[in-house]
Amino acid sequence: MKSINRKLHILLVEDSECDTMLIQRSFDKSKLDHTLHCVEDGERAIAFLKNYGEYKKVARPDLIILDLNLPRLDGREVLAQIKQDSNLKRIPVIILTTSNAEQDVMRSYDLHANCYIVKPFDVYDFLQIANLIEQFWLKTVILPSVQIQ
Amino acid sequence: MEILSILVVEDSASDANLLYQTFLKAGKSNWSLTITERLSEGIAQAKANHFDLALLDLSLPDSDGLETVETFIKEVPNVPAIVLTIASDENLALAAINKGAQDYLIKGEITPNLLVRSIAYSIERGQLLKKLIQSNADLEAFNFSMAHDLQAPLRNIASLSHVVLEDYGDNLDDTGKDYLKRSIAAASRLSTLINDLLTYSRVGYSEIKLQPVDISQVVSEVTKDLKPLIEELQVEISLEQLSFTVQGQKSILTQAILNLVTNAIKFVSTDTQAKIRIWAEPRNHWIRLWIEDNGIGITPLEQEKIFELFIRLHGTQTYPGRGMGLAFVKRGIERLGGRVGVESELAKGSKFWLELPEFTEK
Repeated sequence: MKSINRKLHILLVEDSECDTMLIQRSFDKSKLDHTLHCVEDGERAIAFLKNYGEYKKVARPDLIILDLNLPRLDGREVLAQIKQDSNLKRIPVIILTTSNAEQDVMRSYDLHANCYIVKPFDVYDFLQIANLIEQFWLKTVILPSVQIQ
Repeated sequence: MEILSILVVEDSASDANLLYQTFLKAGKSNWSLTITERLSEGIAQAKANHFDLALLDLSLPDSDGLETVETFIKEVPNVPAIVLTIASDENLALAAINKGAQDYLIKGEITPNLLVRSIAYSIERGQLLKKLIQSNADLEAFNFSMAHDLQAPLRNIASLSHVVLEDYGDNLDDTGKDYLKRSIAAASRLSTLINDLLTYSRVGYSEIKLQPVDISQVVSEVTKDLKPLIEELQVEISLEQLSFTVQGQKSILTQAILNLVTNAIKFVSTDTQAKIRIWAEPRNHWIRLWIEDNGIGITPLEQEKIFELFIRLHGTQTYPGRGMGLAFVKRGIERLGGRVGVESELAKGSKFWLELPEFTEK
């Protein structure tokens, strides 16, 4: 396991308030030093990442968790914009969605999503998701934004 | 018959003229014929203007054989196409129909009556096909939104109940906790029900691509899937002659066999060890797969309706289920062009079978 010496910022783009609450709860239970920033639509996600308007002073996220079916700006479009932006494309994007349609999976990877997770219908599995993301993306992999001691 | 607009894609001027003469003889001099020599021009015409039908020669300067049909139908799926072939090419003509052409006409044998009749049928079929494609697309969209819109709040109910139990469990007495656990279990049953309904519905309209499927491989995958259940209930499964290849679709066949074997494990009286035999046998050009159990059996009256949707012969307390497993088996196997059935006597076990065409190399 790598040790990280600063606070991690995670951007969660999710329109279901309830899912946001549950993911937040799971991250809160972990001992990781982190801040979870939550936005509920695609436009806000882009505004957050590009520090527009009310997001002028927010930190650049180390990791993005992105739902596909979002109001205003669709998650697929958000993903495409992130991966086309030379400033943002390195930030790993985790797709977390209810869609298990093959075309969504393929298209997301074509757009350079870093992984694709279908929201499990089982309640226990769903509550595990945040733990698994934390175990792998925050404790196992080397994130491009993090200096390893 | 109304006045029709026909697109003729034909590079031979004499053949095109012959067609024109045939239309005249049929008394259809008022129909409009648009003649193009290349496929690309034909497609451009069909995209820019309205046509009721296309007559398509297969060998054109810019496209040849089946590729011509495939390209045309892919580019302009809304215009029904009849292919024009030469007499020695009947296999090619049949293959063209397989690729989506509505009919074929053999050059030199096209009489006025035949031409008009073929066009009338092709247009009719084309319209039916269009409606079918539209209604399947609607169904798919409906299913998708049903899955999404029903499952999401359902998962929220279950998740929040679970969170209350975990975070505030200490403030609840045993009855309170029991109520929450029951609501989690109920939500999970409803979620399975929605998924099963979707699977059942999808197998009715999704596109089927027939391919060779190795029966022994599917059966061994199914028994591997069920291994935990088989070990837990100490089920004795014997796999016998299964080395056959059928014409089918692997995902549907796998689900069907999974449902049948699960039933064989499930419907056994409590004091009996389940014993299951699985084997296949050739019957003419068909392969019949048998799944025999020593379970509770089914009366002749029940056998008639057991494959219907939502038919459950037993209370959920004794044998849990939703009455969808066998309905899927029947619908799925019939979509693959096969048949299903059962032989059984009460208290003497059941023998379920499914039958699919044997795969033969052409």
